[in-house]
Amino acid sequence: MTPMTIAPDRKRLALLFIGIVALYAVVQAGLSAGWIGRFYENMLMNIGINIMLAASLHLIIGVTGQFSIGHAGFLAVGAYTSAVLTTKLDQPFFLAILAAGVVAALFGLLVGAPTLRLRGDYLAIATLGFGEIVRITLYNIDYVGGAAGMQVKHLTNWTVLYGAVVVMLVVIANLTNSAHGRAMLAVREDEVAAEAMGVPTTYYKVLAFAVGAFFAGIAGAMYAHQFYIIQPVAFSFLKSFEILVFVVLGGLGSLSGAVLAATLLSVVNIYLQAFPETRMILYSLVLILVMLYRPQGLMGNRELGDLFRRRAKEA
Amino acid sequence: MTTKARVLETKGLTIHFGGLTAVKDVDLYLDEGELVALIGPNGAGKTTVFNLLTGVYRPTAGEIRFFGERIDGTAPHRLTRKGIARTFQNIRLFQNLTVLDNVRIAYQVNTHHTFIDSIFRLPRFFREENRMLAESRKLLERVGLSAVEGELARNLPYGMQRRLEIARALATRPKLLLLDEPAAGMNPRETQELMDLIRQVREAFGLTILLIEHDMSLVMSVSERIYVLDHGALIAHGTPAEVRKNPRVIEAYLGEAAEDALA
Amino acid sequence: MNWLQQLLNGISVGSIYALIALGYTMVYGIVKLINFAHGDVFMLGAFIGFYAITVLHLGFIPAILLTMAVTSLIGVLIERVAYRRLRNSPRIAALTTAIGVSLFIEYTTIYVRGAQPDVYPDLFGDRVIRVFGATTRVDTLVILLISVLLMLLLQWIVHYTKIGKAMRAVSYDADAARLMGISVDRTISWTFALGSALAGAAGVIFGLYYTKIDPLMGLIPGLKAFVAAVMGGIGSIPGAMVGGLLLGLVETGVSALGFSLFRDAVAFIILILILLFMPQGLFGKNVREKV
Repeated sequence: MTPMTIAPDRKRLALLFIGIVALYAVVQAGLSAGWIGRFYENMLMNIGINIMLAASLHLIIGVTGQFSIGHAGFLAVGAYTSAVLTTKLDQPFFLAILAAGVVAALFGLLVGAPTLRLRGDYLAIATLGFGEIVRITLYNIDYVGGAAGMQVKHLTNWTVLYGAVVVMLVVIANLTNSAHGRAMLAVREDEVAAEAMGVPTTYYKVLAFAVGAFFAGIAGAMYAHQFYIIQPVAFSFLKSFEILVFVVLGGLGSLSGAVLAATLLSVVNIYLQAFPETRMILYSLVLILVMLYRPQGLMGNRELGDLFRRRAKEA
Repeated sequence: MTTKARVLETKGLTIHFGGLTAVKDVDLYLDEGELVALIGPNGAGKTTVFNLLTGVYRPTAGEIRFFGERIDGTAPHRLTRKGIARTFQNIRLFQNLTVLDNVRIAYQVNTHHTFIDSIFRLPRFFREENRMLAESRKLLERVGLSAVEGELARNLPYGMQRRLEIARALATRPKLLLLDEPAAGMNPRETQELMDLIRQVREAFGLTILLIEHDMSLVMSVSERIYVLDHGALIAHGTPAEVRKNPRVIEAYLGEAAEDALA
Repeated sequence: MNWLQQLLNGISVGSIYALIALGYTMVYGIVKLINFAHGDVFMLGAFIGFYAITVLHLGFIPAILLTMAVTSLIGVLIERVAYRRLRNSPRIAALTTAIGVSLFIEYTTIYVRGAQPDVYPDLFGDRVIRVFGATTRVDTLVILLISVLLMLLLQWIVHYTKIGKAMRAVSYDADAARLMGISVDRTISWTFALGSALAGAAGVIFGLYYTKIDPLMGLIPGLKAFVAAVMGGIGSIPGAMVGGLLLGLVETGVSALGFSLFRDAVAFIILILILLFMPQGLFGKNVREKV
C-alpha cells in the first residue's frame, strides 16, 4: 500500500545499512581468515556478476518491457573495454570499471535509439543481431586477440564487486520507485496509452537501455578481471540466454526475483560445470516449463519486501 | 461571446491508409468551454479523427491548430503536455498497475525531478513525489475511486475502469479533453452518473470537451453542438435540434439501422 | 572465379535461406510467432538426411523425402507441446518458450550424439559443369533445382489446395475462419508441418553443399533465414523466396569483395537497417496497430 506521504524511513534504512555492512564484513572476514576457500570464493564472484547481469536486464525487460536478448553484447563491450584499459594501456582498475560502464551505456543508446520503431519480437531479433555483431567484430579484431582472446590481470575482489552490486541495486530500486520508474512501467503496460498520458516513451526506452547497459558493462569489467582470460565465444547468444533465464525465472518485473534467480542458478551452474550439455538442457526445460505453467516466475511482479510486509500485517 | 478563445480548429483534415481515405476534408472547431459531440455510424472515422488530433497518426493533408498554434505532426506525448488529453474507446489502462499508479503516471507530466533526483533521493524527489501523490489522491476522491486506490486496474469493474480512464486523462491537466465513447457498455444509471461526472469536472477544471458517443439521447442532452461524420467526411453540423432534423443525418443513420435490422 | 560463378553460388546459398525463411514466414503469418526452433528443425533435417544416406543407404531423393516427412512431424510436435498453450499469452512468453525449445533441441542432440561435426557423403563427386563459360559443381545445380521445385510445390499447395486456402484464411482472420468452419488448430499444425518439411529439405541440401554438419549449425542460418523473411516482408511467401535469394547474393558479394570474416555480421546489419527504414519489407503489408 502506498503510504500517506513518501519520506525516508530511517529505521528501515538503518537496518538495511547494518545488514549490508554485516554481510560484507562476515564474508570479508571469512576470506581473509581462509574459512572461505577458492571454490566458494569463485562461487561468490559468479553470483555477484550474475546478479548484476540479471538486475540490469530486469530494468530493460521486466520494468520497461523491451524484449532484449543481446545482453551479452553489453557484457562483452564492458569486458573488452576494461581489459584493454588495464592490460594494454596500464590504467587503474577503478577507471577501467567506470569506462566499461560508460562505453557499454553508449552502446545501449545506440541499440536503444532504434527501438523507437521496433516492438516485441522485432526488437528481440534486432538485439540478438546486435549481440552477434559485437561478438563477430571482436572475433575479427587482432588487437584484442581475435578468437584466442585476451589475457587479463586478476583484479576483481570481493570488496569491489560487492560495492558495485550494492550501488547497482540501490540505483535500480530507486529509479524504479519513482515517477521515472512508473513511466517505464507504463511503457511496458501499454505504449500507446503511455504516450497519450504524456510519457515520452522513446526517452524512457533509451534510458532503460542505457542504464541497463551501463551496469552490464560494469559486470563485464568484473568478469574480465576475475577469470584471467576473455574470449569472444564466452559472449555468444547462449550467455544472453542465460541472463534471460534469470529474469524470466525470477518473475518478469521483480528485482528481488531476478536477484534470487541469479543467485540460485549461479550455484546450480557451478555444480553442473562439468556437464555443460545437461546444464543447457535443464535451463531450456526450466524456461519452457516456467512459461507454460508459471509464467509469473518465482516472484511474479512482487518484491521480497512485499511478502514481509504482508506477513507483518497479518500478524 | 466574442471573447472566447478558439481552442481547436482543423482545416481540410485528411488521411489516407493505402488506397483508403479514412478521413476526408474535415473542418471543425471548438471554442473554450464548449462540449461538442462527434457522431456518426460505425466505421465513419470518428476514432481516426481522435487519433489525428492526438498525434497518433499524421494527417496526409490539412492542418490542426490548438490555441492558434499548428500542432499537426507533433508527437502524442508533446500534445498531452500542451494540454490535449484523451480516453480510449477500448479501455487502455495500465492493467497491472494500481489505480493510484495509473493516475500518478499521468501526473508526471507536471513533475520536475530528474532521474538523477530519483536515484540519489534528493530533496526535490520527496517534494515532487509527495505533491504528485497528494494531487493524485485528490483527483481519485473527486471521481469516487479513493476506496480502490490500491487495486490493480484490471481488477476493477467495468464502470470504474471507464472512470479511471477519465481520471487518468484529467491528471495530465488538459485544456481540451477528448472522450471516445465513455459510456460504451454502461447501463443507463451508470451512463447518467458518468454524465454528471463529466459536467462536474468540466466546470471544475474549465475544460473544453469533444465527445464521441453512440448513445443518441445522451449526445442530444449534453452537447451544445454536434458534428456528424459519415464515410470519413462531415455531413452535418449544428445544434442538437438542427442535426436531428437534417435529412442527410437521418439517411446515414437509417442506413445503419437497416443494416442492423438485416444482420 | 568469375562473376557468373559467384552469382550461381549466391543463388545456391540464397535458395537454402529461402527454404528456411518460408517456414518462418508461414508460421509468423499464421500465429505471429518467431519460431526460434525453426533453425534447429533445419539442423535435425541435416542429421536425419545424413543418417538416411549413411546408415540406411538411401539414395539422395528418398533421403530427402524421408527427412521431410520426419521433420514435418517434429514441427507439428513442437507446436503441439510448446506453443499451443501460449497462443493467447503475451509475445514475450511465446518467444521465450521458442528460445527454450531451440536450445533444448540443440543440447539434446549434443547429449545424444556429441558435439563433434559429421561429414556428408559426397554424392555427386567433383564433377563440374560449364554454364555460359563458368564452371560450377553439379551439386550447386542440384540444390537450385530442388529448391525451385519445392517452392513451386509450396505455391501450388498454398493457392490450389484446401489446406492452402485454410492457411490463407486463418492468417487473414483466425476468428472469421473459425466461424466459417475451418479448424484453426489443424491448419496451424499443417503450417508447421509444411514449414518444417522445407527446413528439413534445406538441411539435407546444406549438408550436401557445405559437407560439414553439427548440432549448433542451425543457429546462424536460422537467424539469417529470419532476416531473409523480414527482408521479403514477414508473412509473405514470395517475399521469403526473394529475401532469401537476395541475402545469399549479398553475402556472396561481401565475401567476394574480401570481407569474408564479416559475412555473418552483414545479415544482422541488413536486418537492423530494414527494420528501421522499411519495416514492412519488400512484399509485406503495412500493418498498423489498432488504437
